[in-house]
Amino acid sequence: MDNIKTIFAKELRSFFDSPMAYIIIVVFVGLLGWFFTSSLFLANISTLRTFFETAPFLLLFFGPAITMRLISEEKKAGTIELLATKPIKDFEIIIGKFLAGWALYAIALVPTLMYYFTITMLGSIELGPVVGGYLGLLLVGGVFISIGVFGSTLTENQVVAFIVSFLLVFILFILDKILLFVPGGLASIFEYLSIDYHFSNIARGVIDTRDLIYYFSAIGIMIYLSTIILSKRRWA
Amino acid sequence: MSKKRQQVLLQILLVVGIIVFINIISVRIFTRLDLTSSKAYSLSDASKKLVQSLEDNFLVKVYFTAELPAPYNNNRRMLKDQLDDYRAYSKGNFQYEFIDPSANPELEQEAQRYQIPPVQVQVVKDDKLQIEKAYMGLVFLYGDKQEHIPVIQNLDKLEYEISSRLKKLTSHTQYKIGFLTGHGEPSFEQMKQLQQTLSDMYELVPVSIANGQELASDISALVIVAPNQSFTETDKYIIDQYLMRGGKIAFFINQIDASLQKQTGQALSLNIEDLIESYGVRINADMVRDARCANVTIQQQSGFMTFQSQVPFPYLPIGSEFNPNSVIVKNLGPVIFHFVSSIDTSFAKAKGLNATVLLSSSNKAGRMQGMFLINPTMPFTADMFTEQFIPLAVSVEGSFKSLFAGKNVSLDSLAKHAIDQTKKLTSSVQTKIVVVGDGDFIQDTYAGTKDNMVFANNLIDWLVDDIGLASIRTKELAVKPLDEVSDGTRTFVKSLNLVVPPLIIVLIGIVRWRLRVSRRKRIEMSI
Repeated sequence: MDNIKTIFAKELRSFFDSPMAYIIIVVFVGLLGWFFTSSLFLANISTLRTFFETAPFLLLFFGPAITMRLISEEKKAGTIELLATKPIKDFEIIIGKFLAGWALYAIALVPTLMYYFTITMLGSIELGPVVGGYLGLLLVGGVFISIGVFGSTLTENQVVAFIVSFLLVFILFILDKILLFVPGGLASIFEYLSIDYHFSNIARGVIDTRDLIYYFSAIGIMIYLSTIILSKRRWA
Repeated sequence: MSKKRQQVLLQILLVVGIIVFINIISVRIFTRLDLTSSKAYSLSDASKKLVQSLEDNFLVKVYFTAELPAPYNNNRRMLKDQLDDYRAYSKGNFQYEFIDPSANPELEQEAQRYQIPPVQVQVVKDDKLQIEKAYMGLVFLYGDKQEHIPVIQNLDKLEYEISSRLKKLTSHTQYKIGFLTGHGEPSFEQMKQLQQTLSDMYELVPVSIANGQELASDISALVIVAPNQSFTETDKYIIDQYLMRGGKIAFFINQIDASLQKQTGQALSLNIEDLIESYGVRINADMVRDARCANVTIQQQSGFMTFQSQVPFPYLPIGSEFNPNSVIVKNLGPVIFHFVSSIDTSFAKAKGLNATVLLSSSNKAGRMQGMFLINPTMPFTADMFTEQFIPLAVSVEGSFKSLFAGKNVSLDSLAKHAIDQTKKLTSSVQTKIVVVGDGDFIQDTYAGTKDNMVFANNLIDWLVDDIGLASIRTKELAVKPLDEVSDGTRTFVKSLNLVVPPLIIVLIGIVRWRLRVSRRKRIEMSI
């Protein structure tokens, strides 16, 4: 536990010490704001649904971008061996780094709370769906970031890590949008696997155990697989 | 392949297998938490029961044009959400499919065969605003029966619309609603709006008791609207015994015969007062005035000129103080009355009956008693509106005692043969009545607003069936429009939301950077 905490703190600090993280977050939040404001008075209803719907799309890029260097950089620099000589287990490394990425993402969401306050000024909005929406965004982010961590363990090259992770999250994201071209039996499986299907449920303000289990399963599998890949170098 | 590798592969398969298994189980065993205050996204118990009771395939075909602009694509999503909910609770019998008939003449014809007409919507295409044909209707197929919703208009009522059709298709018997005749009640011709509203769900039949016929037990509810001729003892006996057998009655009674044209009102003696009183309710012989009221058009003479103007007339109260705890009426729209009498339920309790006020006047009201002079130009002063929340509509539930308990009934000669008095019931099973102190509010001439009909419809729904379709209708939807603001405010709000969040991040960065610089300087200094 202490090891996870140490790695988590170190990673989070290094995020905030590099200008890269700021650039990524500013672009992310800026685009969110642009989507939010451009449709706000067009639809003219007091809801944050458009915001919640565009956020996962931007997260496709944002997630892999903040995770791409997490492991691959250490692999390239050889520092992963240093880490491994310490009494730290592989899964602690993975979880610590995953949590750091997730925390960074959560912090990036904080300024968007302003949208909620804007709407409360302009009309009345129910808190329930907003809480659900943010919870959903956190969970979607969790899945994307765990996939990003996985992608990062695969390679020493950050760009390759980004591309692999992006492809994986993109597949999860697109699954429920291509259902028309999928034969009947597979369609419901595809729908279940798709990230947006579960998200839209939560964003309405309905917290469903099915969706929670889906998200935590996805995160769990990705962390598990990342740990396996990371420990592969010891087998030889 | 090394042994280690095999082991790991096996382990991966095992772990993934377990997780998949957990997911498969979780799809079947789940709970949900609806965070919206009105539980807008949860099916009401009434709908769940309905959809669970399906015994055969129930197919919903949704003819919905894809890629509709903003408000309608929202409709599509909400509709799908709703149908998903039904499906989730249906044990597999409830299925739906979305069909996009646009650009496919065959499907368009199919939609129109199901009586789903195209509607016109505005869309932006090629940077132009265009009118396009769109379909937004539903067909319900169950066995060889079908029902349809031509166009989805009001999402607030979606669950009600679907459930009421579900109910209509699945119920083996259609409830009959009897409208009493023979005492000067208005005909269906004069209540077209109400007829239209109710005939969606019920079969409406006029019933006569003039020759001593008893009220058939297959009449689920008896509605008595604005009689103006007095009831005989036989009439009352028949109505009373109908209630004793478990019948349900809606009394929409004018106690005062008032008319704007004649400018006077007169207390009616209907000889039904004692009957209603024996059920724990008295309709007072008065007229309620309310500061919250409808307008009337009056002619005014000014010199040589005559002109018409609208003036508020307190004897046409607008009832919007619904009992918030009642599933029958909460969230309903305002009901406009046409001269309404107050209702007294103070003695219901002594009779062991449970009376609930459903609708009262506003907090600025009063009553006219004795002489009823009606003149819209009469002066109204503040001291005429000192009473608060005068009951205008009530419901009573319980085991009612017969008016004729322990009494010998003097029946008409005609009815003597038809009615067997030895079978007289002196108290009822658990049943219910509603009483409204106005019989005009559902008549086309006087009323007119849709909300009046919804109110009457809910009362009758509640009388007929306790699984509460009425409670669905009143469910509020959470999404409300934004307040109207000026263009300047809009631009301000937009720029603020665009700029401030990224700025916060940039500021954090600058602060952290400055801190690091100063710390480094401190360290350098100390060296």
